[in-house]
Amino acid sequence: MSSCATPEHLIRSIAMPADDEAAASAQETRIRWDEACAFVRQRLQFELPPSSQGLIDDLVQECMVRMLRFVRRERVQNMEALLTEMARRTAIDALRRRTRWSALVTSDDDAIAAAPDPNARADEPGDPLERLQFVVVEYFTQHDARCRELAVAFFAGDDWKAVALAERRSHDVIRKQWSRCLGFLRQAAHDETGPLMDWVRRT
Amino acid sequence: MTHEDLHLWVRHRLAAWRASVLDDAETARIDEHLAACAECRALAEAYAAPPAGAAGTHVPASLIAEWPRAQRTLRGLERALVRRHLERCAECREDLTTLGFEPRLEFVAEWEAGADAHLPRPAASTTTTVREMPAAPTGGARIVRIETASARARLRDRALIAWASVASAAAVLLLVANVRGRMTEGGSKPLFVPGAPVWTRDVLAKGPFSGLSLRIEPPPRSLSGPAKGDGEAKLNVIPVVGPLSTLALGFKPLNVPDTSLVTVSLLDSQGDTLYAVSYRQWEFRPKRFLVIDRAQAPLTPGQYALVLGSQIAKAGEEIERTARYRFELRENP
Repeated sequence: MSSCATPEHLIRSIAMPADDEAAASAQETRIRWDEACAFVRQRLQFELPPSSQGLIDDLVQECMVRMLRFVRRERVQNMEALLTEMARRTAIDALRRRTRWSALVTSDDDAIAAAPDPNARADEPGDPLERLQFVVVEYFTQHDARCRELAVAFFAGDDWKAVALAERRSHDVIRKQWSRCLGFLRQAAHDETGPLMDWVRRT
Repeated sequence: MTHEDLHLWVRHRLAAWRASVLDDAETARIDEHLAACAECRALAEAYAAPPAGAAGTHVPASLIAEWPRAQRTLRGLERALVRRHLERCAECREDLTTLGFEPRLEFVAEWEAGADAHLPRPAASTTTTVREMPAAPTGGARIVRIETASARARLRDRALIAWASVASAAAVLLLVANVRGRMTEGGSKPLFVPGAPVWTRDVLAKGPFSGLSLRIEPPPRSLSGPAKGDGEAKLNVIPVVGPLSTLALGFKPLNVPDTSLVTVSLLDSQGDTLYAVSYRQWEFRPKRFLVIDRAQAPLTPGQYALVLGSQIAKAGEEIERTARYRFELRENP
């Protein structure tokens, strides 16, 4: 494939404006997205087992969305390395995602124990953990700024002790605050159906 | 609960367990089970690594990548939240547009039955606004960015001075050359006429400046006399001629630590939230102002409120800090 691009080919000009913020925003228009797309596709074909090649179209899209979000915020030094790493992580996430969904949706114990079918595809789109985190953050965005702040800090660092330290409050206070926040969320999600919110209604 | 039931009970909660949305008793029960059950522990390992991305602050990339399926399958609270997020998040809309999808999620009443009832009133009123205006991206006010007013103004002024200097010099040269030419050579020689670069549409579309856009921001209007707590704020009158598609507002930031999250809400005269967005306190400094873009649904004359809210902690207690600015877009007779 002729799309085995070098970094110089992927970004039209290596010279970046001096200001980092301006450079980050300018990158979006400098990148040759069609070549980046082809490069990612090639990397995904390499990373994924042959049985999972049917997922590639969606995974290329996912990878490019992640890339777009990254270049809006960060300055890219080595485009090829970044694309390679993103493609690798996207491939790993895709394989892991299948296991995540199978745990959530399967009701038959034996089926869960079996290794996930690499050709299978969850009926539900996206990643369950990402979706749940989005629901939590977005609900608190509209409901309670303080709860949102805690959720975002926890999801970013994944450790309540670190969150408590950053907030200069005790671990107990943070946990109690979070517990109050979850009360609101549970109440809002009480009538929800579907595997993502199963934890709310089933005892 | 039988042993098999416990397996399922744990497995159905692994995502929630990883996202830390279970209560302490449930979390302890799952931890205990995972310590004893190798099969469930193996499944839990699939949740070990955090998902890539901004962890909940935007519609997940994995969902956007499968948008046609997402449009068909999202239900309930999640669907309502995605729809509302798209209504106010320009980045996510742009992501969808880039992939060739329509940047909105259709409202289907039976798929969101009951979801709005559990969402807070301001957000619910926003939804009402959206329903009345099906084109989701054009619904609410959109705070596009916080600009550094002083830096921009300096650059703009320098550019204008430079351009004016060059243009003046060119005009003098042109005049002298023209006069000399007419007097000595009858004006037959072509004259060098410096001018501004003219970019054709083709050059703008494909040339070195493709993707470039220039825009003149409106002058910022300073808001003063905020109300703290439940007090009545001073009404800032902003004379306007007709509806405003863009409004820049300057205000004094809250007195909270730089890392605090500050939520800025724009309310209409009924107290309904048109838009809300959160920033870190440091993003407001120094001398920045807020630009509200509402090209498709301009702000009509009337009273509005801009509310800044943050919660900070002091000695283990939460202290809420708010400031409420009132302003009126008043039709200039």
